[in-house]
Amino acid sequence: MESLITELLKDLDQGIGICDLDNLCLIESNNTLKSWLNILDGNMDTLSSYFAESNINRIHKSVQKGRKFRFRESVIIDSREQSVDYNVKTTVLSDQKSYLILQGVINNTDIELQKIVQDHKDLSEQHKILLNKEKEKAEIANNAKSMFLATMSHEIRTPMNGILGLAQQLRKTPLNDLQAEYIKTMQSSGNQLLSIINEILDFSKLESGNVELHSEKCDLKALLTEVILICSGGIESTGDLEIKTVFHQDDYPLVLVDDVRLKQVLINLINNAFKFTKQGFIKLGIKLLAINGSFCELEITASDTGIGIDKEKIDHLFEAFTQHDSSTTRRYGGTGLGLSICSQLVDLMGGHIEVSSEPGIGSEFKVFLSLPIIEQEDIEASNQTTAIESNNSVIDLEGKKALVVEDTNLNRELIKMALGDYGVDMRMAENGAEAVELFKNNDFDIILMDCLMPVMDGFKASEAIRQLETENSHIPILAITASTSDEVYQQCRDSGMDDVMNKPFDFEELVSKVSDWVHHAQNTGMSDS
Amino acid sequence: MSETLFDKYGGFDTFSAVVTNFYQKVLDSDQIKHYFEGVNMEGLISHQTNFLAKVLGGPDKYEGRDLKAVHAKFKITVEDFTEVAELLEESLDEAGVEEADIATIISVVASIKDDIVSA
Repeated sequence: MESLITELLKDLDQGIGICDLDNLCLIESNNTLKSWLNILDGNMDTLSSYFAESNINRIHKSVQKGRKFRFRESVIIDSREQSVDYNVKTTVLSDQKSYLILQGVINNTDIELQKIVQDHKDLSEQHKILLNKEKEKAEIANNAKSMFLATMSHEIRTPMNGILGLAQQLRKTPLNDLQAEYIKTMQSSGNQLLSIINEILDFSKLESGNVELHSEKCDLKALLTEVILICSGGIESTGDLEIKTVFHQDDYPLVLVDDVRLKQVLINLINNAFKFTKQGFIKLGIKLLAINGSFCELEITASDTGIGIDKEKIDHLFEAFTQHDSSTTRRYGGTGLGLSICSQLVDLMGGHIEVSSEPGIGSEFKVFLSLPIIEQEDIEASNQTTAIESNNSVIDLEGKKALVVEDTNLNRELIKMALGDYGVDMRMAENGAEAVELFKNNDFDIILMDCLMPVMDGFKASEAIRQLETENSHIPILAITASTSDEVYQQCRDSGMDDVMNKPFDFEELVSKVSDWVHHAQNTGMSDS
Repeated sequence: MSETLFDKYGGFDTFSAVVTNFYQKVLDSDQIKHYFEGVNMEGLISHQTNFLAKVLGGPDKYEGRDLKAVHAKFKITVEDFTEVAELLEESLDEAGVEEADIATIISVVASIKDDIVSA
């Protein structure tokens, strides 16, 4: 029996050896240990030739203390580096002498761990690739959606320009009261449709994080006054309904904010107030809460005595597509996107909106903003880039020469209708190439440029015209486009256009813009004609 | 603030390895292994790692009870306490902790001797 065990020990997977206690010289060992320690000729040495010095010192110490000592060393097995867990302890054998027994076993934990880590890494990478693929797909789909919305908006705006433009022209003709009323409704319906398109576009941009704020210096008092004016349509307070702005301070610091977007938020809140309030008051107020260094803390309040909002509905007020109740949609119209857009825009500005309301009593929306204050010196610097001053007093365009570049006949006619009454001498071009030719041979005071046209688009034409101009001349080019995206506005500016007018356009707005630019060019000598 | 001993030697990773090695030594020791019969060693290792972390200025996750009350029933002798301290010293040495720092840690261990020894 005993001899069999001895035989077995020789080829055991574990390494076993016996050492002299005093000099730690290996006396006997099985084949496994020999191969680990690279003992080829059978000449066995002291452990110090096989193991690290620190381990030898500790082995000595453990012999002294009569303790077991465990250590780990790496060994090349089948040309692969593996770690072996050794342990040594003293023992007395049958010859009554004490020996040091050395045992070792290959430690596979590290290799297994490495394998697990590697597997995990492979899986992670596969997931990452899949995730990226899905992300790309989602982004493409989202872009397609945005593109679709932009295209739809453009496509809807173009015929709307015809409808609203002709309605404006029709109003100039003799009409009986009923006809005038019909046309007014037609116009307001058209405008409502436009604002719905704008809301959907805005919402989609906000959802995809594509809204960038363009901060400008802003006089908040003027902004609030303007909001009330726009929303009330110039209607003064009546006995039933008081409409007013409330300024808690005499003066407010000039601040840096995206005034267009802030106006959009406040117009939305006040328009809501108008929608739901038949009597009492509608107020838009502003309070300066504090000044912290170069920032001022502001509270803008839109309050009304309208139908109010149920408590449980307030929490869902800012969610997209929700309205006070589904019947509201029928009774009051709207997409249900307005407040969601407001809250997201205020979020972008780093602020927040709070609501309090009581059904039957009224509602109060508070917009809290922390805005950077502009110092006087900054204003002068920033003034250089601001647009021309509006000069609405007298329109005098008699005999001014305008080049109208527009591929759609109806749109050319509409511009003719809008400007014709003021004696503007207009030349028509159906595409950019024609426009450039006409520009070469004529002196114009202004160019009205459509953006998307066959043969040569408005951007290329504007670039070409700017190339042809001499150093001191600069003819105002006004883009007239059905696109409302920031990219198109930027493209207009980049190609050398001076201002943008959206289609459908209001006749009066177009006339006043044309007049502003023509006179601006005259006064500053922009154009050498 | 100067670096704590806990951070100097690599935090939880290092000290959990030290404590694991230390308890292996404890279980290898004929003199003291009987104290740990039927003890959940994994729990003890995590408990002791937290204790060491706290003592060495690392995060305090230690939720131990009063040392004296816990150890009284084992009737631990001075010799056994010394054996444990030596095994801890060896474990720290094997993990590459400098001699001066080992001395600091062992002095902390020595300071709780009266709470542990009760025979």
